[in-house]
Amino acid sequence: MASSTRQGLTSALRGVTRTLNGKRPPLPKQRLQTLRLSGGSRCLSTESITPAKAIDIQGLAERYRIAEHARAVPVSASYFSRTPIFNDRYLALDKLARSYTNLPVVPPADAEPVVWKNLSDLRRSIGEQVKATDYADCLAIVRRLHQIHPDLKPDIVKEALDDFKRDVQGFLNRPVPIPIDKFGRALGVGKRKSSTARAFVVEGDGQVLVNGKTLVDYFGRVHDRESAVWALHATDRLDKYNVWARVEGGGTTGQAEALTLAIAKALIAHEPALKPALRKAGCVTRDPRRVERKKHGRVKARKGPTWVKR
Amino acid sequence: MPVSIFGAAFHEQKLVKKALESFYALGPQTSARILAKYCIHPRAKIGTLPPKTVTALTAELSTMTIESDAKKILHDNIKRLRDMGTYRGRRHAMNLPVRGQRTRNQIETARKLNKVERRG
Amino acid sequence: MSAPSCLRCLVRPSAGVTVSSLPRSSPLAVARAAPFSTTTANLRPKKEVQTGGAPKGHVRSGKMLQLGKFKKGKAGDRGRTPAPGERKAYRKRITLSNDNAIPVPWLTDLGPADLANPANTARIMALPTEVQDQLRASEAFKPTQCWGMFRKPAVLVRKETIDMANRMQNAADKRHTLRLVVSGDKLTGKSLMVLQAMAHAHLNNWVVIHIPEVQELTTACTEYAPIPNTDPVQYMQPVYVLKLLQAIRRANEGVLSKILTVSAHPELSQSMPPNTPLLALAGAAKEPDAAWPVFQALWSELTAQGANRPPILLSADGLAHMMKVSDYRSPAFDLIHSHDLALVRLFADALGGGLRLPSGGAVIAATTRSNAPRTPSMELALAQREAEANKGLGGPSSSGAVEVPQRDPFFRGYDDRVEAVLRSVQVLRVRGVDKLEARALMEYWAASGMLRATVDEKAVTEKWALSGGGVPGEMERAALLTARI
Repeated sequence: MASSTRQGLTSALRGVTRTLNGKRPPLPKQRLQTLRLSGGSRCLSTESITPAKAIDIQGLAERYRIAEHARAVPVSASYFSRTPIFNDRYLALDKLARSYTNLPVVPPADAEPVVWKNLSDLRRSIGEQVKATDYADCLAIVRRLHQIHPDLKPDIVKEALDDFKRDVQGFLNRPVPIPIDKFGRALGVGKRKSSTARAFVVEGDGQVLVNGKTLVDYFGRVHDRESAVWALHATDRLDKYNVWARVEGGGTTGQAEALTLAIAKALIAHEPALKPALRKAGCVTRDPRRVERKKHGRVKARKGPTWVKR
Repeated sequence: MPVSIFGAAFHEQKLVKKALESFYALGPQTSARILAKYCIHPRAKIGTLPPKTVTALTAELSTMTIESDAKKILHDNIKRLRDMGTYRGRRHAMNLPVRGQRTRNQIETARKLNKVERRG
Repeated sequence: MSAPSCLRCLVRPSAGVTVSSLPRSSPLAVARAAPFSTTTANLRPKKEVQTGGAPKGHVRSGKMLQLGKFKKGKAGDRGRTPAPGERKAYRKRITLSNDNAIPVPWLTDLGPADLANPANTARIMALPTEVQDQLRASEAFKPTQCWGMFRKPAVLVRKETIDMANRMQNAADKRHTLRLVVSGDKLTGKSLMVLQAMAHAHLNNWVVIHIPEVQELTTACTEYAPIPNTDPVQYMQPVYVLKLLQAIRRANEGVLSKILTVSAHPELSQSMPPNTPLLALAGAAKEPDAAWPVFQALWSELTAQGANRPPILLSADGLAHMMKVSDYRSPAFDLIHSHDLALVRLFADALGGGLRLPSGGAVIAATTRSNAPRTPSMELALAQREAEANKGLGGPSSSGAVEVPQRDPFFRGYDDRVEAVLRSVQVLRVRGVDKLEARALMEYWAASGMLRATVDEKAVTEKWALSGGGVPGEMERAALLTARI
């Protein structure tokens, strides 16, 4: 930094008049400090962190013609581009990628899952209108660097990659394991549409009570009954567990399918090995669909008002 | 084979209750009581009534103030109002609402029914 | 017996479309299109097609906004409208056989002792033809039951059945009267328990008097008339009693023809010397007016002391309707209690133990869950009887002492007459079938070709659990009727 500053200065001070002999006027310290480019932001900072080394103006003046007024010169050539900070980072990453190209990598699936900033996140964080293509190229390098074997990854790479990680990392969320209490019950909670179900699953002989009623009393439709105990049915555990469930909200379909999820979660607490089978049966993932809101100018969410030509 | 009750002929598939209610000034309350009095169940049809009950019903109806008797009372009441020269009587005679309703629109019923010899 | 309707063309059998009415015989019909059609309307000879003239419909049809729910013009010819009562008859018809079902070779007919034999638990057994006719005469079959899916009507012999048949047999042997109320949840087979009791009675030459729907007696839809010289006034229901007499006659023809009257009945218009067969007595009523005295005479003959009479089964379905204030009105415009209707009173007295059957027999009534008025007294009484019975057995081992439910002191709707009737009845609670019985059912369905699945442990468990612990009606819905839901 110091050397580059000096070089910058040389050109900056070019043109200072040689009238600096005898009692030269006191150096305009502030003016010199303005010459120092701040690292992060584009504007020239007036806050001095550490004063630059005193410049031997006299020596310089002897060698060059020094102008009376110095002009600030940016440190990086990117200063004059559209997205200077991004360009700097891009170049730094590119350099890193080239220098560590020989380090061993892990397959992408084995790398630690990370949520990268998307285009709008990146634009917001550095305050520049980054182009989508540039972002894509940059992220390709980021991904390549991320694949470097974690044991051998240099710290400088880790730091560089941190800039591209999102603040909230969803992959770090760990579900709280469902305990099995002293009565042998596992409590699973499931939701669907606007229904919520809590199911206590214990080992037993296939009895199901929903809100104090039997399955038959609670669900009039055979289809709803089937979907309520689908998790047990799909894994052939229908006669090995009893279920006591509380369901609230929504209609029969929502309640039945909320119950599916709740029972599946509680079942996984009893037998974790069943998770792949249950996932295959579609019992593990929460269905996020909700009723679409009604819009103005429409009869329902999307239905248009009746319209007859002429 | 129509059955005649109180001078009116009814189809045998007609409900007794409805047949009774077809007389003027005989409503659901009265018809239910008449049915109970002669032990006819509410879903009985005219065709199932024994002739004895039919004559009994006719006799019963002839003791009641229904049809023209009831109409006569109504007409007398209106005529009395008219003769006294009251506002109500006048409104009856003018085919207009009697009880202070607005007359800008929706007075079809009054137009149709209100007169000194009131219909219905 | 053939199927009630031709499944291929879905034509109502009563629609009058017989083979002869097809256009085959008409020489003019040769040029017409092929006679196959799916609707009755299209089978009728077409009217002359309009030629020329103005086109049908509005000029701007298809361009107008139709705001109303009801379309204006009636589209096309709708064919013949059904005759009065035809739709109801079609709705209420009972089919007991399906020629398309596979006959089940291992199905055996019920014998006189089969329903009381514990070895037959969880077996499907067919109803013999004569019993079918008898049960049909007394309307024991219902249109909601799936009789029409199988080659011949068959019933599952359950533990409860054997229990009930044994109790009936016991009562007949000791000349007691079994007074039993069959209760249970929806679709658990209460009506079928009554049917099995009737089948058992018919097989053992009892006299069976069955009231298929009690609501027909108490919802004010049949004629009634006060019986003279009764205090408090009782009411007879002549039309219904006449129908009942005819049903009794047809259902018990064999038994009644062998029993002879012991006394002359001077009150009847027809002279009945002693030693006339009871069948003739039952047939004495030709008019509704004569029905009630004849029924009384028949009843007094059946319960005559000293004479050697067969045991009697009095059965009814829909007990709750019997245990409420009826919809009839007295001449003073007061509601009549159901127990003041003479026929209901007879049944209630028999159920309450006030009326003894000298030659033994049974009074069996089933509750209904689908179409029943709320009768707090009956519900309470049945719960009390059940709790008392459990107490007598020592109760369920887990809960220790069984609480006998008591009247709610803040509720006014209790009925003392009902509780008096139900004070000492036995309650048979019907629940879902166990897995063995469920398996027998499913194997029978599969053997009849109605269930296309291999019946193994897994399938049985699945259907058993889905039907809320083996409720047979729900098992039918889940396994047999899935296409209908």
